[in-house]
Amino acid sequence: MTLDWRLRISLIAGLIVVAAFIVLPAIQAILLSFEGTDSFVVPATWVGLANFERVLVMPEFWRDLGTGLTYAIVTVCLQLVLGTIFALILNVPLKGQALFRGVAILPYVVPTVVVAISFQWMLDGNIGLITQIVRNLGLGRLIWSDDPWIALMTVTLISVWMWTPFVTTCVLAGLQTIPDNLYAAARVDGAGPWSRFWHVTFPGLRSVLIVVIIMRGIWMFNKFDIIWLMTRGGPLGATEHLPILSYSMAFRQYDIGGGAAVATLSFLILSAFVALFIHLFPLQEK
Amino acid sequence: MTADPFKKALLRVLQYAMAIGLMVYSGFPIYYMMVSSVRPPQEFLKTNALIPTKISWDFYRTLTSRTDFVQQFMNSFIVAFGTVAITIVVSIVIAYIVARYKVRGKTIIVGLMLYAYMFPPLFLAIPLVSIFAQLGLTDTLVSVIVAHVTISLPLGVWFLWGFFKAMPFELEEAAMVDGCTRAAAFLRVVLPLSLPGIITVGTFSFLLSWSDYTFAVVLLSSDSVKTIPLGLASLLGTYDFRWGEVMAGATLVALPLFLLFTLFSRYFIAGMAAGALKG
Amino acid sequence: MHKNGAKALLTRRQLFAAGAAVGAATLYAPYVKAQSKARIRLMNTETAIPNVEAFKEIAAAYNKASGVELIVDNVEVEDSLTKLSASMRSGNPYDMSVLGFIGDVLLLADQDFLVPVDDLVAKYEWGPRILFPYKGHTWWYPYDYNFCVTWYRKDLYAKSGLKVPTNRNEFLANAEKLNSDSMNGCMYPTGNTSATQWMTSGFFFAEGVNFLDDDLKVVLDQGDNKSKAVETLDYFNKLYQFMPAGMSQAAWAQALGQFANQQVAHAPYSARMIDNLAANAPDLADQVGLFPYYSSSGDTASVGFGYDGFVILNTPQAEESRKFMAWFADNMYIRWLQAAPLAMQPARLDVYEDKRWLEIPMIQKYKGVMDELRAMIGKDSSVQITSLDTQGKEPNIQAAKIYGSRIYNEMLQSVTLKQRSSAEAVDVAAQQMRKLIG
Repeated sequence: MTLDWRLRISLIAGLIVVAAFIVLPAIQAILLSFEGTDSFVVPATWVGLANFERVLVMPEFWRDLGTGLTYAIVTVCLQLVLGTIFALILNVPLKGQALFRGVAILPYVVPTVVVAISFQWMLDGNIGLITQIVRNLGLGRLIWSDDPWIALMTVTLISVWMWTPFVTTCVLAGLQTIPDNLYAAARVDGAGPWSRFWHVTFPGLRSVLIVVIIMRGIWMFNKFDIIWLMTRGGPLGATEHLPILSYSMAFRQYDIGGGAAVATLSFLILSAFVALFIHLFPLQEK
Repeated sequence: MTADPFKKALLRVLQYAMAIGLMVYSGFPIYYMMVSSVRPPQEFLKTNALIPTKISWDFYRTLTSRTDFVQQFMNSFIVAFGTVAITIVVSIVIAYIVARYKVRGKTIIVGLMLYAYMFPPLFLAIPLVSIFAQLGLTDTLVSVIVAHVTISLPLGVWFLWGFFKAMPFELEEAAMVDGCTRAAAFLRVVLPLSLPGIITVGTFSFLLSWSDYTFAVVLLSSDSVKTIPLGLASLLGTYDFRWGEVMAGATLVALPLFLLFTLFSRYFIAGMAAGALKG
Repeated sequence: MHKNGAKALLTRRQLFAAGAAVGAATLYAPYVKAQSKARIRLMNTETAIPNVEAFKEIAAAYNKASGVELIVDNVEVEDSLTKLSASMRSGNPYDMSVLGFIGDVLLLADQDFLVPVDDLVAKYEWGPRILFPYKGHTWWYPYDYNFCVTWYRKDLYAKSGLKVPTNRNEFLANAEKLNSDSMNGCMYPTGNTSATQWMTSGFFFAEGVNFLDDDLKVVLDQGDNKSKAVETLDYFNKLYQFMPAGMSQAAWAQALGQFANQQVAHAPYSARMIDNLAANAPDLADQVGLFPYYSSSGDTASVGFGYDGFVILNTPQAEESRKFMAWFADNMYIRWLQAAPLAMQPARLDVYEDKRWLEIPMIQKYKGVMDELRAMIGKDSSVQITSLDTQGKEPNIQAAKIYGSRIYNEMLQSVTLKQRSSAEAVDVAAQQMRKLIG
């Protein structure tokens, strides 16, 4: 089908908005990575690939890339699994369903800074509520921030807690579009609950899940605020990923060119992953 | 299948148990936050009691009388609703075009939108300031709405694209055969069917906008236009100790949204179960 | 169809041209745009409620006195440079700002964004090491020192028969004595925030450790710096065993909270500790005393340094801003300090004799504390006023970069968390610092 002129105009308008407000700033961010500058305001000197050469030999860059990938992959997988399970629970007609759904979205509603404080406090090494519960259960002393691995796990789990409602709600919406007669047909064929899930529900959620994975994948790879507020990349760099490295360089160490180079590299890597994913799981069937 | 009444009852119990478990998981940290916000300041750090014995509104009083909290709340609402309205309309149009028409390079166009997420927001926000200054929109809520739309629009387009794609084309064709124009077919058939998707996009545009700090801190300066995340951050300060007020503020942020979503959920998602796709 | 294609092509080309033009025009917006009305825009980074309220009062008073409108925007301190940059790019830069990092001040001065305030500063007498003259000028109008000291509980000292320490080993012994099942001996953050720099570097400076020499070369691992740094790290690690769990997560709030909560017997902070105790644990406020960071011999002492001040930006309003600054200095300096009277220890010496300041109830009530802090900037004081970002002969961006990095923090963490040897930690840190400042 071809477009009529009204639709063409709306598409072009959309394109202009995208160009002005997304692509243009992104181009500027990339340009900064070729400049040696400590300011966003004064025109800077062109240094070519010097920033990239400098960044690529930093051991921190590669360590942070690994941490970031781990963090993104684990959080996205957990969010997907939990979000789908939660959506299935919330899809069962129960009394008080609206209430259950309302509460289930709450973690996403609370400002990140408050989530960070609440968890820091509940996890305080001495008086923290969770710390005390763990101790009373005889599981020893939980000092999440002292152990690099546990610190990474903690920010991972908190991130999962915060952003699972996104997946839950998307899947819940997706579930509404699966026609009931498909389930009925499956029942007639004698399919059990598992089989119905795999053969009816899961395929029905395919396109929603693909979009959710792309969105969440990009978001989690670039997620900055919760980690910054909880650990600032510590202890000993255990929770530092590329967005934190980029921010610290540009906004704490007066190295905007270097920070932009990290951001640009991170962007290239992420684009490659997204392109690969879209290639493997196209939304648009060929 | 589960004709056995005992089995059926067991299933019910199990379903409720899971729903309640989910509620505790999602709600507990927020309950903890709310309980702390009504603790008397002197006992704020001394107790972990989950059921308040003494309720004090001190933190709320400080918050409402000595900060611009109410104003910030209104600003956040205006920005979030503006973002939702624009996002929904524009993303429906673009997503529908992309899903139903042949347009050259549409994947690239829609792909480009994802750039908004691939850069650390601060690097995007600072150049945006220059652009808004050229447009004469410095320090206005409109600039923040536009900035938020740049992050919520890709979400909307992508999500609805998937949604429209999953919807059988035959439904529209059937309507058009029945004499509807394409626009009417869209309005009468596609739109109602994709309501859950649209509501979802609306919800998340709202929340993206509602919780954004980065764009707001760069684009907004005056106290009169500040949004809640900015207010909470400066209230928290770096060197001061205002956790109680922050918890109170967060409670005031979470409560109305909780009510809103509870109502929304009843109206839209649940209502869709009886949609036309049943046929 | 063919026609349509051509049109689309044209549209695309126009679009591209338009995009490029907009792009070129907007990416580097001019820094200065004229402002017509007499309006001064000030960026305040002291966002605590009393400070915000103070500025409302000050703005109203100035408007009454001069007819000039003072617009105050409150910005969280960690976003200050970001926000300043954004304001410049919008063509509507702030005319004045409160700043708390010397690196920010130097950076702005280097880029010609500041006007010097030598004459304004010359009118009063100042405490030591606060004006940071740079390239022959004074670039900011300081207001406080924010010394970080260690706070102790007099009641606990009396109960256990302890004496106020006069060297660091005595302090270690006191921390050990007061360490029990219900209370930890002390707390010092080791996490990645700048609270760690502010609250722990005093141990190193008191012992005479230099991170940079006068030529801004990293000397942490050279000469006797290394042995002193290693000893101090070892010392810190000993102290660490009397600290509560979770120091790698602690920062400002925990220092205030844990002390008010009687979780620790000693905690570092500025005199904001007293402001906070008075609000949240009034019984304790009268029971606390302070001492600086001591060397092992006790001959030298040091305090954490956390200066703040005002800068005037190089905008068309610079002359108006200078007038305001002069008026503020004469009339409102003390009103401003009153927002947090103990935390904001005056940088200007005349204030200590000023009746308006002496009559502030909190100053009257805690005169003893303020006297001790005042003595630290006295002529015969042996207390060193140093911080990681003010190392070197004169203010420099290299020290600020080291301060902004997490190298120092990770040096502490690698010893306390990883049980790495202090010597190794010092070597690693020195190498990283060298790499950072090139």
